[in-house]
Amino acid sequence: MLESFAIGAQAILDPISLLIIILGVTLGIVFGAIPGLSATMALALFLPITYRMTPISGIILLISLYIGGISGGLISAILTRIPGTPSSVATCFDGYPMTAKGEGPKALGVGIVYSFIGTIMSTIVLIFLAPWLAKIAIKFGAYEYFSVALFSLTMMAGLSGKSMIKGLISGFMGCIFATIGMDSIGSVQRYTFGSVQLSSGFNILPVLIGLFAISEILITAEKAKYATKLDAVQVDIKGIKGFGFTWKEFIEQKWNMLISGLMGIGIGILPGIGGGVANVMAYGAVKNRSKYPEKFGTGIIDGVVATETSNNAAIGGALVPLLALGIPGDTVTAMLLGGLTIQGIAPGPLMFTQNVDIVYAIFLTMIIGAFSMLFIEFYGLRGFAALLKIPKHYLLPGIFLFCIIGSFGIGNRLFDVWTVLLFGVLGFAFHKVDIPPSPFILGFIIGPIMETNLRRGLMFSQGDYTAFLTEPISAFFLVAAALSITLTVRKNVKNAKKSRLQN
Amino acid sequence: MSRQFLLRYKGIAAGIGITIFAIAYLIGTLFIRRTTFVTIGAEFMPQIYGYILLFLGACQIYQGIKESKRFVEDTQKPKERKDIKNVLVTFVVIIAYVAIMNFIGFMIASAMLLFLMTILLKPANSKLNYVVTIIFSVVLSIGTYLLFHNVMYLSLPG
Repeated sequence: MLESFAIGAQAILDPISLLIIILGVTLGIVFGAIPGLSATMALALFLPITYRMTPISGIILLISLYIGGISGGLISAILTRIPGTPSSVATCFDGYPMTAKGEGPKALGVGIVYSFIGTIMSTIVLIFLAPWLAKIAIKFGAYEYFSVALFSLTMMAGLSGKSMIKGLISGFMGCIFATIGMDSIGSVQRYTFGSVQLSSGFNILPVLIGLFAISEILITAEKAKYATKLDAVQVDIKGIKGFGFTWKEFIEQKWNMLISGLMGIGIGILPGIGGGVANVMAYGAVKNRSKYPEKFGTGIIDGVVATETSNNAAIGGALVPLLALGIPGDTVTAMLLGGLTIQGIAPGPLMFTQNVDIVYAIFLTMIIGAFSMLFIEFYGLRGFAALLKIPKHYLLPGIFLFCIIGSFGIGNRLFDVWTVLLFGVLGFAFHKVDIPPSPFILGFIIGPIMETNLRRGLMFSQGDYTAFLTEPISAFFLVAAALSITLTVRKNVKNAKKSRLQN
Repeated sequence: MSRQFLLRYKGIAAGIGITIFAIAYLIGTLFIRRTTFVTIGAEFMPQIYGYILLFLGACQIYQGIKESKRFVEDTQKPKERKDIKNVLVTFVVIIAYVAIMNFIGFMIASAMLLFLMTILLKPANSKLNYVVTIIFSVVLSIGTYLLFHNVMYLSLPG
């Protein structure tokens, strides 16, 4: 492992790479801090810049943006009560009341330090878990990949927000859009309507950019006319010792930190969901086990510790399945998957033997990025708070332009730009009827993996379906999938009964 | 149609939309060429997805009907006013931009797009400085063109 680290260090320990990390983290924080802009958008914006970079420079820029983007949301959550990204929704619950009590700098200090701790915790897990998982995954054949894909797909049902049906609709729509083009086994044209462009299917990047960035622009257009001005509370960190809280408070929070961090990592590893779910769940869990749950929401650091540790811990978690299996853990890692593919690198277990430099460069970027975030975010606070005032009507058109260039640059064809628009409309329609867009991406990526491996597996077994059950790892994941479906349905039936009783 | 009406029946509308899409998709599976060298052909998974989506569409309609019955009209003023016309205009501007980019070139098209989009996304209660907006649009479009064309060697239309 040390040898691999040396290879990674050789690749990124030069002034330019370090500059890229610092720049990436700073820009990520800016994107995170401004409500309506997210880490996914930051990656969409900077993707075209990575096309001409070396694979390592490109990937460290994207990872740095990811770290900054997830953490930056805490600034607006604490100062304005509007979460900068979905990852810091629950940070508002206690962060803003702290600001209201005049403890703004402390809330920010706590948020930033625990974002750092979350990132480091998850990086350690990533460093040890991913290579181990990759070692197992390298032995995976068609049966195992099919079962893992099926299991991942069942996740989208359980964790897709308020309505299980809507989450599933989104996920299966993703699977459906992924069937357009030539099928991977027999090269049969499906739904191409004679179009040459469609025969290679939709590229994941324009789909992501459309679904997450363009739809956001349309949503802003809908609300723009009546938007209210964002007023950030002025916070001065002058005269604050350290990060604004004491060692005693730090030690008191150790269990909260550990629980939230582990929850974040676990949720990050599960396919399709990341910091957006982790922060709310960790907040709930820490509140439940607290000796003083009634104080939550009134402005105590416990709440900020829970959300900010867990959302950043989800980063390392989400990278585990991406690097070890090629299955992204959340939407930002789906973007990373696209970014890596463009550079000619296929994420998956083979990366650990063929692209050791890139894998370990990612690990080191996480560590250096976490330290950069800690200092840049705290000492640059005033600057970031001032950025909240940049009018969105200048920001979004600029981002749109970069999104268009990014999608055009993938294959030098306008077809990808039209794809962006198509999925932008779909994303907006989803928003209008409350269908979550994240399961769509999961379905879009996992659907083809599932189909290809099912058919490949059946070719090996000469049409015998029982082969999927007799292979132990495959059987394990099939049982897990069945269990996951049963639990989700049971939970939904229970919830439905509960809400009926309440009415 | 009133806003309340739309809110009340949007669940059903979504269900109907999904169901129609699923049916169209299932009809599409009939046109997929059949092959015999694998136990299951290229049409197998699309059929599965199609039937599942059809089932989910039906569930959504059922849920939508239940929600519309429970729906309580909110007589208070909506908290957040929305402007669907602005969305449509923004979208038309975007479509026009992509459509004419090849003819008038990236720089001119982008400058026009940025200018129009800034106006469309501006909050009603703030004033727009047109000189700043024009400078913003022109500088950003020329800047990005030069960056991507000359530094990143990405070919852009025009």
